[in-house]
Amino acid sequence: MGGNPNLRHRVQASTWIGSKRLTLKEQGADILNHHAVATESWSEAEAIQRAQQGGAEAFEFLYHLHKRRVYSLCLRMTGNTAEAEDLAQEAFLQLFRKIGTFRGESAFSTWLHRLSVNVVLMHLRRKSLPETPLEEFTEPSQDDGPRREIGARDQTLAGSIDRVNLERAIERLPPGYRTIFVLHDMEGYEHNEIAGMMGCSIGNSKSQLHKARMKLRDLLQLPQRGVARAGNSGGSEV
Amino acid sequence: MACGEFEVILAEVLQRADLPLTAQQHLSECLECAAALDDFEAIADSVRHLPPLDEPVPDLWPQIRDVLRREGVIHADGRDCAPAPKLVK
Repeated sequence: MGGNPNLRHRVQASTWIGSKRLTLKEQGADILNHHAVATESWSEAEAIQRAQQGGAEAFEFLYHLHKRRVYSLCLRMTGNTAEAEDLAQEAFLQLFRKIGTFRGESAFSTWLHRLSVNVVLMHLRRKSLPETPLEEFTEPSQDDGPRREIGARDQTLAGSIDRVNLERAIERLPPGYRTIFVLHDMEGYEHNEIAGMMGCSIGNSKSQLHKARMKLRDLLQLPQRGVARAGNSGGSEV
Repeated sequence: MACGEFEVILAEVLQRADLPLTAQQHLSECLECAAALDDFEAIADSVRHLPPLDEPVPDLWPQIRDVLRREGVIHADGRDCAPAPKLVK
């Protein structure tokens, strides 16, 4: 997730009352009933300081500042909106319960990001481990998609990936593949970190990542090449 | 170098320039692996620039707030106890 700790997020805290974005007129009327100050802009650091002292509006400010990134991370890792909302809620609850311990050694967004990843991984482990071993959890079946023909030179994808197709393809990855792909290629975690977090070997993390990339490559090429490749399903992967 | 060995290396590096010499040599000899690397680089570049997805449902914050109030993490009356922040000019 990254983030510049020096960046001052000039978000008008008072434009959010509850979960509703208020118009200027509504803000004026609402100020009488709320403790918001319409002209006040907080930096993230100021909001953190206030939240550490229990300030209700500071928590709300921080929530609105980071909700999209946390929710997106949860959704990309799970591929399920209901689960993503539950996990985003859990991540923010854990964040706010622990906010008193935040000392600013790392960026707040980095801290929140790591915490959110841990929440999702704990959830995925609870969900998958009792039912299915990791290999089975991540191995696609034979009919999961077309195979690449040996020796065939595919047109490269460079410059042809649109965002909607990419989001859809990531969503269609088998859960274990998706988790490792999101952590490594999207969020920048190293294999040793992923192995530690997921309780698997480094080799396993590398192997799953390679399979995830291959699967994603296939999924992205399906619209253009599905017909041409239908007859090549007996080939083997690179 | 065999394709299998190249795949193991590829799981650690994405930039062509970061590949060890033996792997770069393999790329010049194997069109399949070269094509895979092209595609992986294109995918990685695209995913890094994906914007955040949609927002969570609007009632998520009230749910979080209510739990925090019950636990006493934030003040039940919604009042701020900290001194007012400095105005940002």
